[in-house]
Amino acid sequence: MPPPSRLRPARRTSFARRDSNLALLGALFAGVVLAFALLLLLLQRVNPELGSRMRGATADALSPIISVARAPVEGIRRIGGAIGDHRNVVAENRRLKAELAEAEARAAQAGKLEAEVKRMDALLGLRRPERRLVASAVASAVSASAGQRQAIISAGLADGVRPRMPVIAADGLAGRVTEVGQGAARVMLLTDADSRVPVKVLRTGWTGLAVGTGGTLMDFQFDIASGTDRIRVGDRLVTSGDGGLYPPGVPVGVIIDATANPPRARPLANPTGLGAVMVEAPWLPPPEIVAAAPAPGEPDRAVPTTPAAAPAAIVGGRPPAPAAVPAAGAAAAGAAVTR
Amino acid sequence: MTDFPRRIGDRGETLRRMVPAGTVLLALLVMALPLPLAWGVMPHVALLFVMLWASIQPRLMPAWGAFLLGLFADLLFGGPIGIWALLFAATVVVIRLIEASTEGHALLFDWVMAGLVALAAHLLAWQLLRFLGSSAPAAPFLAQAALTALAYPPVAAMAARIQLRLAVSAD
Repeated sequence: MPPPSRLRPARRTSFARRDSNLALLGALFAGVVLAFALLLLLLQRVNPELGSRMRGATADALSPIISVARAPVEGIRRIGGAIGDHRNVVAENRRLKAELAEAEARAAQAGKLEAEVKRMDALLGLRRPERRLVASAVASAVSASAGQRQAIISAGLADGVRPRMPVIAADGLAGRVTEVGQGAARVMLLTDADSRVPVKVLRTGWTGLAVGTGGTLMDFQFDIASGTDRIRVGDRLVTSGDGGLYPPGVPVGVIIDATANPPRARPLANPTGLGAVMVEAPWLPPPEIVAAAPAPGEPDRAVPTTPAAAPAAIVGGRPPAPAAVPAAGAAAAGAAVTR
Repeated sequence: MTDFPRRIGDRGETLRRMVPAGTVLLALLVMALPLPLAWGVMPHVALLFVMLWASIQPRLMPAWGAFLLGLFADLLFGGPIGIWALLFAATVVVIRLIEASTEGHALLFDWVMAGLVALAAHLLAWQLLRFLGSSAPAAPFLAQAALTALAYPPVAAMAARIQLRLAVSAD
């Protein structure tokens, strides 16, 4: 430290100077860190694929940690379930017997119907796409971040799992694969705020979307299809097969609040206790376009021509509007040209 | 303070310095467990720990440390990468500013500040998610912010106990 000079005012001690320098450096560094984080986000806004590869890789690393950590949680849930089961085993047994008798009658009916449907399909030459199992895996939910409902499953790229594939649990649809690692994959659950599943109401046949809310429930968004019927509590939602991703008929949820707008549904597959799941191939993969000649016109199914249409218009009591005549003539000419 | 250089190679000392980051890491892992929760939301305990350590042990929770922890959170939760990294680092900066401009630690004041910071962080997280193309509604974020604010006193007590043990083991 230099001796105090008369010309210059006494300088601060080197210790204090170092401290303030450090603070300044710290602030600068914090600014750099914040700017870097912002840059990261902006890059992902420009290119959303950027983050997804990194996350796929971390799914691999996280899968073992989470499967170890969830063991005690799972154990406690099982014990709780077992105690509950024991307490009302008699009532449960009676109820199940009654249900079984009813179900057997219905199963016999269903067998008959199934045979009938098969015969009809054969008659029509209808081609039903088949569901194809890709892998089975164990799932664990990663659940406590607001808005995001995801799970990690223990099958990945090596097992043939790819993004977009539907994931189905024992009780119903679980979600779809969003990112894959080598031996693990991330699944977007039905309740994720970004999840949209095309569904239909089993009872009425109305179609709509089961939209995740980021909480524990889903919204059922649909267009009112009937003035007299309405959604009821207990209505079951199954996948409709629209969009070609999810196979049709997989249970999705059950309506628990019909008065809310849109109605609320609870997913049938409990997101926190998925257990074993199946990963299936997308039900209807997008068609591979090949060059083919357009189908030829079929003369015997052409639109009826003017001589048949004109008398009908006059019989109706009104002469045909002047504009309609040239239009009909043009249609006839068009039909002639296509022939 | 003055004996830092002497102890810097000490293994115990190095471990001791990792404790704040360790608590945040642990809190993140607990948050990622498949717990059967009522609304499917849990207080953001990790964010609370970041705030508390930035307040009582600023040297052990620098902005870049919070950034790395936030990066881990993003990877763990599976969202866009950088949201919590940005917010954790920003939280540290904001807490430093609050610390610099206020004196003393009244529980109520700290609690209100923590609540406000948590609310701002969750609203920002929500907006950033939307900015990155998600269509998440606000409700889960508000619920988590509220729960986080409610969870402040117990988490603060926990951090205080850890801090006490750190100080004792340092002697």
